[in-house]
Amino acid sequence: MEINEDRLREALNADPEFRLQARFWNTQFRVVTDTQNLLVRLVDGEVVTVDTAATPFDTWDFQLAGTDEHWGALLAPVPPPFYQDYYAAMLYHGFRIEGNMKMIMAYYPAIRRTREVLAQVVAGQEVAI
Amino acid sequence: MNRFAGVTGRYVYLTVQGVEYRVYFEEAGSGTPVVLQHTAGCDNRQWRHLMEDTELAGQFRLIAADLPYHGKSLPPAGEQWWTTEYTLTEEFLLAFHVALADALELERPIYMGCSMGGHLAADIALNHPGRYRAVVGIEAALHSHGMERILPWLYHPEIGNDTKPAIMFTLCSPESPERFVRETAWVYSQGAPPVFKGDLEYYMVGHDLTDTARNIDTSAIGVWILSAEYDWSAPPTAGAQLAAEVEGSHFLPMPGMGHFPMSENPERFREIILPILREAALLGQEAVVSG
Repeated sequence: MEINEDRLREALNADPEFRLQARFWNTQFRVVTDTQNLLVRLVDGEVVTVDTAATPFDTWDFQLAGTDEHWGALLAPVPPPFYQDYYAAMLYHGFRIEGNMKMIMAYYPAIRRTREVLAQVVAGQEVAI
Repeated sequence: MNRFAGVTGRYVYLTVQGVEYRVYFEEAGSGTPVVLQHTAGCDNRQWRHLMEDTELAGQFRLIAADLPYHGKSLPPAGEQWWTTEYTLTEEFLLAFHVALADALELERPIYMGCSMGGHLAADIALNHPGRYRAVVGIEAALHSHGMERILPWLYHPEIGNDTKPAIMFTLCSPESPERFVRETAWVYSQGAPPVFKGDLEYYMVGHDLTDTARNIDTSAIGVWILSAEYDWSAPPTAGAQLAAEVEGSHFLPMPGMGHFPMSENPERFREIILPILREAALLGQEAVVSG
């Protein structure tokens, strides 16, 4: 599974629900797979960069981390039980959503939506720009 | 021609544990009474699809109240409720439902509730088997311990009222129609800030039938337990554990369904619940014949 960084940035910025729920948000979070470690940076609710060369020295507020098997189930058109969301996948399948819990809870409407946007990106769907 | 729902709403004054509450409830249909209990932090709008189902309303008197502090049931006017944090208890819930059934003069109604209301189904079966003919516990379980540390985040000055509906969205099934999933979540955005957490004090902490569920007498009250496949809060294994403890109970897994079957996938849920309610209604008739 490969997440294209440019398509992810474009898709998040083009998604009206994500933009609405990400309002006023300044953050950096990681999307971690077996082979990728993406650092997504938002300024005032807009994704300004998706860095594919993130290092252990970079700061992040929270991360969405799982194996390719986790991500494959999470981003399936109809996810299997308890893969319909990061939170359920954490409780039942060992996926990791961790970091600043206050930020995670406050921005969960936007974080939840990233799964659906990522599914579009991985499926290669056109995003409305 | 104008179209009207076959649902009427009104208020009843109930005294529960010495405090008077002005309680809003809606009802529809006629026949065997069925009392419907909403989930934590929600209100009776969750049952709107069932209430407007003409086939159900043709056989059952469906009654859905808003618990005090929920929906249109305001906090009690005679109490300084703003000086303490809202918390729901099993004792209050049980007393509330008996008071409601008494006030509406319901003859051994069927009780049906979901999530928190599902937990209460088992509590009612244990504590008031003579007052009700049957209970239907949707997403019921012996207990829901283990996630209590989430509670402070659900009533926090720096976390808005959008977070609760977002979490509730994740309890829904990906197979449910999006328009109903969105509606289900929307209702959660309208609960008063402390109420969801306060209700979960009962759901996650207070409710525990680990040592007592086996004492439920299904010869005195029918017990149905329904569990949805995508419910990560009360998964089918939890419902099955409760059913295993209650001899004579009925356990029904609901494939492809989520935590709020009556509101997130009402068309599929009506097909599941209609035969159950018909069978539960017969329990009352048997009691009348044998009595």
